[in-house]
Amino acid sequence: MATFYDQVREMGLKQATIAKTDEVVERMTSGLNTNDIRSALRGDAPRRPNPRLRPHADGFWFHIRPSFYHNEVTRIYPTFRLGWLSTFMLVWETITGIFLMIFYTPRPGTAYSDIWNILTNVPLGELMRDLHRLGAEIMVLVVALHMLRTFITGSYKYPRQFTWLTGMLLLVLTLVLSFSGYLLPWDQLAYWAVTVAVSAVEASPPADIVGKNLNLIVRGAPTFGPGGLLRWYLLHVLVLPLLAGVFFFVHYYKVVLHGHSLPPGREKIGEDTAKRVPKTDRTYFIPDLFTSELMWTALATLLLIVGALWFYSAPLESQANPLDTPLHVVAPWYLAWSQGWLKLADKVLIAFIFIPALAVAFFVMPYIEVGKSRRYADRRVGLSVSMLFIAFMLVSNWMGSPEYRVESSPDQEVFQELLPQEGHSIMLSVPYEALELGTFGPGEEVPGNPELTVALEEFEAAMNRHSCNVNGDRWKDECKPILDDEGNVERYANTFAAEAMPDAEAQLVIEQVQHNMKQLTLQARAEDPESGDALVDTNKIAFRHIDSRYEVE
Amino acid sequence: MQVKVVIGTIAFMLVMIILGVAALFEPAELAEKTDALLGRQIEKGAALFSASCVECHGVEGKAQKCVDFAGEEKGCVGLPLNHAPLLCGEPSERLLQVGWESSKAHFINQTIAAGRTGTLMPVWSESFGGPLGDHEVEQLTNFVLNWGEDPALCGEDVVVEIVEWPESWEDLPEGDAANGPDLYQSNGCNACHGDPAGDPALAVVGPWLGNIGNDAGDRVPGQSAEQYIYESILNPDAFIAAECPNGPCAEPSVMRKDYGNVLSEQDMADLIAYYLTLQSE
Amino acid sequence: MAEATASAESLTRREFLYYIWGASVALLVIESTGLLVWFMLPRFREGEFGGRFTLPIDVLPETNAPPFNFADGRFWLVNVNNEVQVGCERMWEAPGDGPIIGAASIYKVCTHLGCIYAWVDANDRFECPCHGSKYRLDGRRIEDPAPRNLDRFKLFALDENENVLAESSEGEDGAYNTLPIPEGTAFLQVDTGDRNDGVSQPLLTGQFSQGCP
Repeated sequence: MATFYDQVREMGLKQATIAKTDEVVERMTSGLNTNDIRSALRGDAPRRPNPRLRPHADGFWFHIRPSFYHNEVTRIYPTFRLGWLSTFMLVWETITGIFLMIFYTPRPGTAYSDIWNILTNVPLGELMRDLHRLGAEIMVLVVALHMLRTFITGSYKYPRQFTWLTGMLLLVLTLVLSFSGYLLPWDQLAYWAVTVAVSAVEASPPADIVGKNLNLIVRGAPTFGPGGLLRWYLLHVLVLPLLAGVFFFVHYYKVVLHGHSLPPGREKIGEDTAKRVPKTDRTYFIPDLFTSELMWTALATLLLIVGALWFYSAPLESQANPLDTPLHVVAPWYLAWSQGWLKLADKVLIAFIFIPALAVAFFVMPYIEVGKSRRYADRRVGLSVSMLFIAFMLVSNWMGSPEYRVESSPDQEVFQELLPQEGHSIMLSVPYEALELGTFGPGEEVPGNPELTVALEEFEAAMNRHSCNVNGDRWKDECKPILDDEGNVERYANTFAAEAMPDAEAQLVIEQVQHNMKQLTLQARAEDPESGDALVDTNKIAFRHIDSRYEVE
Repeated sequence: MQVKVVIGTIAFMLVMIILGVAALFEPAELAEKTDALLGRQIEKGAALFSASCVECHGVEGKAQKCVDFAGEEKGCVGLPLNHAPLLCGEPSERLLQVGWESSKAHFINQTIAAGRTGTLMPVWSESFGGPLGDHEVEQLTNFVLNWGEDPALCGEDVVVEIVEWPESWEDLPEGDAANGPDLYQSNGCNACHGDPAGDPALAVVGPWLGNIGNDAGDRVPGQSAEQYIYESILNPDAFIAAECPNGPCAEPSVMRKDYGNVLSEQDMADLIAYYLTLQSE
Repeated sequence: MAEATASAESLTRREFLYYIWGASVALLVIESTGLLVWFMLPRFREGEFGGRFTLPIDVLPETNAPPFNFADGRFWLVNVNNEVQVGCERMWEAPGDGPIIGAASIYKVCTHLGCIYAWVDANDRFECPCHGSKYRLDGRRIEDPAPRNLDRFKLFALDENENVLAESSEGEDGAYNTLPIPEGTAFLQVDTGDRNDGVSQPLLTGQFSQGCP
């Protein structure tokens, strides 16, 4: 090999530099020189032998990917790009997560103020946090849809059973990854959502030995504290990503090994031709699929950033307080189904028999369901069962929400709708200036003050849902007395609620407590129409500082 | 293929523009969010204050109108916090009196966190065995400091007007000593002067008043006992008693200077009559 | 090589040794799993809150005497007997009480909002400075706003060789009962890792009889 000096002497400096550059490019791409790259960009046919296959043989990154796909699997159907998108989200979460780690210390108190620091003192910190949190929720959705797609197109069937099994493992890892991150902000939402979701651990039989000790291991102490936060942090940033990474490669190795299954109608029943792609049906990775994936990367990035900036805001409630359980604690939406089941049956039965049995059934499903045909028409039972299962999960999720079977007293429900302890509040979102001092009734129209008027309309709507009329006609509904065993009136109901306040009175009082802060007091009163005793006489107080910006949330 | 290249390019350019615009607004946004954070801390502090502090320091923090857990009105035993000498200036008058070297915020935070030994002020921070987290003590501190941001309290043109009082106690109406004990409690005298019937050592700040009925006449030569008490309440700095139960009394006096605005003439007469009955020897 | 062709069925020594090796690996994995579980279990030292405290029996107060304050363990030790009465509220019998006899270790934190309450000798009861909850010597609620009686830790009576003679039993509602101290007790042990919630009995306000408030 001639030295650069020899080349310069032979061709002159310019030609020698071009030749050297070409050589460097070829080394970096493991086989494509400048001309090959330009020909790929131009869309010309490759020369023979095809240099665009060399990176797949010699380079590390491209050897992971197949050099060509069957034309049929490069369209949106049948993959919908969901597997690719899952991988993209995994990478996305890793990157945004590492950036968030720069400003985070896993210690109660510090952790919470670190999140506030990210929101208020790190340039674009709120965006970074929203991107990570939004990404986590989308990732759960995408992975679940990927699994659904695999089921519907029958791609779990021979020879891809083991691919399905590793995919199930990745689904579980995704759920646990997302959930383990839930605790880290150390706010009320995090603390109580995780507390209720892992409360089943304590009951694992035999509870005296396994339950008690397992609880100590999971929470690091009898209840969540510094030890527990550190453990969950390590799970979230180290153990689970590592496991997910390892199993991703096992999963993807199998995907490449067996090839993408063709759309069910394209093959004879019982055949798998994914690895026998005729020359005419090939789409090469370089440049076609590579371009396509770059486009999807660009689009997904754009959508995530637009979503996080304008349509999504990661919640942050008050600092976790182990002594104060907020009303209506909920698990994250992707685990709400389990909470629904826990409301119906014993928690040992659900958490240690039903859910594990269901999980095992999912893992081994392809080894049991061995019907040869992947065609939709031949799989009516399987597809119907899957649709029923989805419906069942949606209903379970609804049962997991506070809508189902968790009704507090009617006055507390009204307060919760208008002035909740945490989260978006109709009353506090009224701009500070619009909170005129005084006493206002539900539905009252305040002249020249549309914002407060709208809030008072909401007040009336909430009262309508939770009160009823016995003697008066203030509210929308008549009272339906509910009798107890002895025939006495136990409580009153209306169309919406199992318990309503008869002939209730309510008002909102706005007072100035400091020169730049107002106090909002919601008061509700109701009397027993028969005895005249006070049934309800409560109020709920909240404060609104001039700077607190609830209106932009 | 060309379509994909164009879509990809447009998407990346849009991302670039969006991020650029977001970055442009970010400094203002951060400043507003920082204010919002403080505002919300003050709100949380207000909720804590109305739950735990109004019993002794009063609903407005002026130690004037105190309510107990059940909402009943009762006497205030705490010091006023919504109070210019505590909150105005850095260091404020109060910090100078107690010789506090650090900031006002630290003074308030530390007092809430660790309580004040020898008074009824309990420990609040869980670091010292109390019920509140350190972040909650911080929220309370911010709430108390927020009174000091009020131009009506600390503004430059605020003049505290003390109501004019007659020269001599003799112009007051007839006093009734029986009302004394209630007034003594409800105006917070006991917070500093302790229980006149109890242990003098519990009068942690001011002199103990258990024997004031005997002492008052001898303090200032030529001044009657009644006049001495009258003047001491209206103008605590007029004469400083030599010995307080826990060492020499502070000079200038740390007593509130605005009792002239708090008491009615009848209250004053009743208190004077009551004090004269306090004789232990 | 000769061995391999010798027989497909009979176990050669070499194959056997591999199996033994494999079995030992499996055993090691089981053992290390157990050890790792142990490693991850949070541990509480004796004499550290969350662990056990062993105290000589002398610290236990006389029957119905003011409680013994043990700050490090965050508990009070009391010795009560509601059939013998001292003071008005200290252990006066109230409606709904069965016999309450023996020792108990009471958690020092108020069941309302977690304040640290104190024993007020003048009033013969526990009083919380934060919101005014009051409790009788055995931890039963006298006044609001506490939602339930004071919580108790599990208590053990040990003999001179620190063998367990007796331990607190759980009542029907899950709270620990008082522990009558058996003959020959030399030490008391309090397990601060084992705390049971108090019960929501009716308030005692106005329920004392025989001239007591």
